Amino acid sequence: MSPADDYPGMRHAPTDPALEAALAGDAGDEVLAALVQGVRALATQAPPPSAELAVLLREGLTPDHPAPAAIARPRTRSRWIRQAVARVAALGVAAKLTLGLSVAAAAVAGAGAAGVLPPPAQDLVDEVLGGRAAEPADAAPSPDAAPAVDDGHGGQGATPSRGRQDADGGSVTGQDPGPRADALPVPPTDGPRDDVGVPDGREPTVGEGPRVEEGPPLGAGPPAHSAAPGDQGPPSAAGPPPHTGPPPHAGPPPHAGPPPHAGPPPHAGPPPHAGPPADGGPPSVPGPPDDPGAAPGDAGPPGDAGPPGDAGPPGDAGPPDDQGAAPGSGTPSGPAAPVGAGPSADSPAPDAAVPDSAPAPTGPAPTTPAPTGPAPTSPAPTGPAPAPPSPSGGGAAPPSAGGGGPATGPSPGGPA
Amino acid sequence: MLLAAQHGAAWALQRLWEDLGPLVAGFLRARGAPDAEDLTSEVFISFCRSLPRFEGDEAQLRSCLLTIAHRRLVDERRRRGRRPVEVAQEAADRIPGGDVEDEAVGGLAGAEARRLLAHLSDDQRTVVTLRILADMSIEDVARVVGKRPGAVKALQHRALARLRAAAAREDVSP
Repeated sequence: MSPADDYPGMRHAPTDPALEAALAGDAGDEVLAALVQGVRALATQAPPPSAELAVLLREGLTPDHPAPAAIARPRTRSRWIRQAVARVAALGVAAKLTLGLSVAAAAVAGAGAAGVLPPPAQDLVDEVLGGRAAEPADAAPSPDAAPAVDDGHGGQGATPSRGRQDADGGSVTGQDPGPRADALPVPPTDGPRDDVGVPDGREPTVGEGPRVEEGPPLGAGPPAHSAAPGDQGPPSAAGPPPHTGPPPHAGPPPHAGPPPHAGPPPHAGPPPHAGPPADGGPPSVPGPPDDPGAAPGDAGPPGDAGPPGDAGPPGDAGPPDDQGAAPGSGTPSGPAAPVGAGPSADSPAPDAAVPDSAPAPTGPAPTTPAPTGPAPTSPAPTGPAPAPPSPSGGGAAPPSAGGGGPATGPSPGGPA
Repeated sequence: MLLAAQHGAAWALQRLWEDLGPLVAGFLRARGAPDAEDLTSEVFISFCRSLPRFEGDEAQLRSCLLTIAHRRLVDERRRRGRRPVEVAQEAADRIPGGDVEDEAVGGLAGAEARRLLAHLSDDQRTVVTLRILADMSIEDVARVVGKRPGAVKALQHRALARLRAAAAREDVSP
């Protein structure tokens, strides 16, 4: 820029000795000495730092003052993004469509899983996801159900629940029912749906109707346990009436069983069922009412003994027992009930139970799903009411109900 | 200390500011930088942010700092489009002081220095300032200003000749 740059001969100009002397402190050249002193005087003090520099000096290099390396990252990201965009742009139409659909599907799936889709779409996603999820869950319970199966001949939904009870009781051993366990899951939904007609899981139970009934009684107890949460009472009640014929099986048991009565009722219940299977649905109808009474008896455990007798005659008594048992049965009696009571006494009662069975089916299923049980049971509540009437079981039931029973017991009785 | 400063230690940065801040400020003042105080802070902030990547000894550290100051000043002048000499006069009136006596002496010396430097071109002034303030060799100055060592020698030679000529004229004229 200055002429000196191109000044010929200056490249090799020797270092000015006068300047070197002045820099060394020699005052030989007054002009240079004054210049050196004056220039150095300009650098005696640092000016006050600016606000930004003050912060930097006080806090050091922080995220607010990132190092150059950190600042460079954004560039890297932008490059990566550019490259990705370029690659996508280079794709063919088909590839772009495929990529777009894949991204859209992934986005929808993710949104559905997060539950942020619009109601209609979310429902659809829930159904899909829920169905898948349910299967596994059902499977899990199935094992328990297996034992129940033994009790019930084939009763799937109901049996499973029973199986559990039995297990509790110890007497009944889970047998094959495993598959029915699947039905268990269904029950939950069934409680309500039973009437409508259980689809998958229930169907099996339904077909086995009779078995189911058996199952219900037995299962009733157990189911009640799981489902018991309060729902039982209602379910059984509701269940029976509508179903009258077949339904009682699953329906009632589960409902009643789980919620209110927990353990006790089941005992009584089961037995009757066993009997009923043979008896068939018809008698069951009347039975339900009676049964309810018995059921109410919830006394569960005690009821067990009683039930048998009840069942014997009209069988109605049996059903009630079943119901009652189912509800209360659930928990407590679990063990005891399973053993004998259920089966033997049940056999007679079964008839009555059968009628109830209709609801029962749902019951069983619910049992497995215990969690869902509640919902189904809600309907059952009515059932409980009936159960109370059948005081027979009642006395005993309460005791057995013990833990779970108490709650349920009252409810049933109350309704009644 | 340098290592700590490179890791962002506040105390190390503070030490660097105390040691090198005056150097940068004096360089910018001697160069007639507009608003030398603010520019000094900006230069030092840039310097601190570039520290993690710095490799070298103390002399190279000073060279690095003054290089940043030189480039920032060039950019600032381009942005403002103002003549350095005019700015130098403005900056001379705002030289911060501490002790009154030192300020008086420094002010007088500084005023005399700025008066002499006003006879030099910007490149000549840069070379002379760097040689005096930073005790830098021709080669180091060449690296800072981005010129060849020979060009820097020529600039220095012509600057000293011009200063002597100016001093001679002043002695005669009064």
